[in-house]
Amino acid sequence: MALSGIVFAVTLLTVQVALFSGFSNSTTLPISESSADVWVSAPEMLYFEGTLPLQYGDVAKVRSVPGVQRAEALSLGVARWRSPHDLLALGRVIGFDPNGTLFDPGNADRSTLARLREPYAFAVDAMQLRILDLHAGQSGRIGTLPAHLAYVTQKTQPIVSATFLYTSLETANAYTPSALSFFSPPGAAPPPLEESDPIMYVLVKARNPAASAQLAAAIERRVPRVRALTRDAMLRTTRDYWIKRTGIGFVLTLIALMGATVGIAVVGQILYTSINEHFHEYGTLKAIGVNDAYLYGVIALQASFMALIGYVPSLALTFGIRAIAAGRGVDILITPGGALLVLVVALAICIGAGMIAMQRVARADPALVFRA
Amino acid sequence: MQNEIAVAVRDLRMTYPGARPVHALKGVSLDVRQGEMLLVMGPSGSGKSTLLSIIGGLLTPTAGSVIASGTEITHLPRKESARFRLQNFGYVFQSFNLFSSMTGAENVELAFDIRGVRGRKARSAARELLSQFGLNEQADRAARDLSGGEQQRVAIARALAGNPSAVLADEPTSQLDADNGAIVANILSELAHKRGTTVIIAAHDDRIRSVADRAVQLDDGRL
Repeated sequence: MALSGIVFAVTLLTVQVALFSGFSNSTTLPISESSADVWVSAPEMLYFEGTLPLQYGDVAKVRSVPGVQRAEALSLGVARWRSPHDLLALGRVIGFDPNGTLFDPGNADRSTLARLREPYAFAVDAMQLRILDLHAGQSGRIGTLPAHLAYVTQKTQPIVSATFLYTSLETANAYTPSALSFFSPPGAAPPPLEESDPIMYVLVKARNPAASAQLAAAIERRVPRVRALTRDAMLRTTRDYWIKRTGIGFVLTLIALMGATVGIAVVGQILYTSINEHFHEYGTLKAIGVNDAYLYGVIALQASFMALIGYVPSLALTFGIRAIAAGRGVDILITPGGALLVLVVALAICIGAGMIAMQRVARADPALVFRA
Repeated sequence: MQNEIAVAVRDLRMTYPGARPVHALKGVSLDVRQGEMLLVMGPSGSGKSTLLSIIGGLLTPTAGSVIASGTEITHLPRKESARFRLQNFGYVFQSFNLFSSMTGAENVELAFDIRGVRGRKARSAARELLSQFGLNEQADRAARDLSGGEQQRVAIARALAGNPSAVLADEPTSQLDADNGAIVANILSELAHKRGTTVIIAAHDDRIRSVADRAVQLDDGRL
């Protein structure tokens, strides 16, 4: 009974922490999947999806900065998807260079990536097909233009974002609802980008990745009106936005804290009951002459043991829940750090609850054992 | 050995406060010699357990003194009192008070552990003690699965773990059948007469009276 209660409490805590980690990881998927060392954006950039456009001509300017080995454009636009059965969905069109090396959603091989060179071809995360009302080999429309599913990716869709549609820069530019796109003749291939066409980021590979921060600073000095962030800074900026500035981050943090609170309450109650059940035995130890420090040590050991015994099945349960959640596109991420954190918290909860429960024994009159 | 005074009780008085104060002891004095087996008899409520608790350093009397092993113990600070009890006394209880989920051997090992004897040394010492009481085969069984007699023998082994100068036993045979009661009474007698341990027992059991060196009668808080 005590063990099942602890397993319940620790599982709750583990799932909440893993959900939080999964969410945190999910918000930065496009950044973590890129091999760029530096991300160049408009100075107003708030997070990955929240930024203002640069111009395609900025790619060449960035490429001319000493220390830049490679620079590629990344565009980001909003699209209204229309499925083969005329169902609507909101999408985010992410345009990149399929011939490039700095952005490759889902780590597709070169031949798979090459399929995106076809006009109006796109890739999407497998979990989004249901939302797009689409099956392999089918096509839909974005605005007035066709959209052919070239291939599907795995684990490339942030849980909080509209469906990411990965395509070439040219196709993405054509999908962008600008005035010009309405004049594109039906069936024509999208034209190449011009210097004034909007893009959102310039992805940069540094000649010396260890000096990314210096390169970012050099880019900001040499290219007007841009902000350059190292990969880590870009990850942190986007993660912090979601966790600290949105209700989702607040809610998930709150839920994780609630998990810890419920865990403390459940484990505390269990240990309190357990110690009460053995109150006479502990009283006997006091009568024999055992000092309080020894008794606290015994309780701490017992509580640690219970935490460890409860932790192992709870971790297994969380992996099971993770498998179920993955089928729904929800990432429950159990990192070594997260697992260690839960173990430390579980130990702290159990030992803390044990210490509170032990107060009654510490105050107990040792003579009670002769009055039984 | 029996000429030395192990425990000296002087004019012990104990009043439990309350709306109607209870005068449990009304001036008890007695000497117990080293290696003596003393039986304190008396009806329920006569003050036996109170007397045993005060002699054992578990309860502070309203007045009077107890000198055990040369130390006046009635007003020792809490920590010192606990240390004194650990080093000088062994306790045997009416309800055995073993950790029910632990084995007999583990219960005795624990008594060694709290006195700083740990690991293999404690395990071997615990088994040695249990074997002296014929509990070799029961050593690895959970205490809750042992018979009452076996549990009380484990409890006596536990009381001896610190090699105490005195063992205090409260109604040690009251929950045992005739045969087991006799076995426990004889073990306690051997403690006194072969080991030289002072044994003070509160009980009203004739089986103990027959093996005790001396019996005193406590009635309404007076000897």
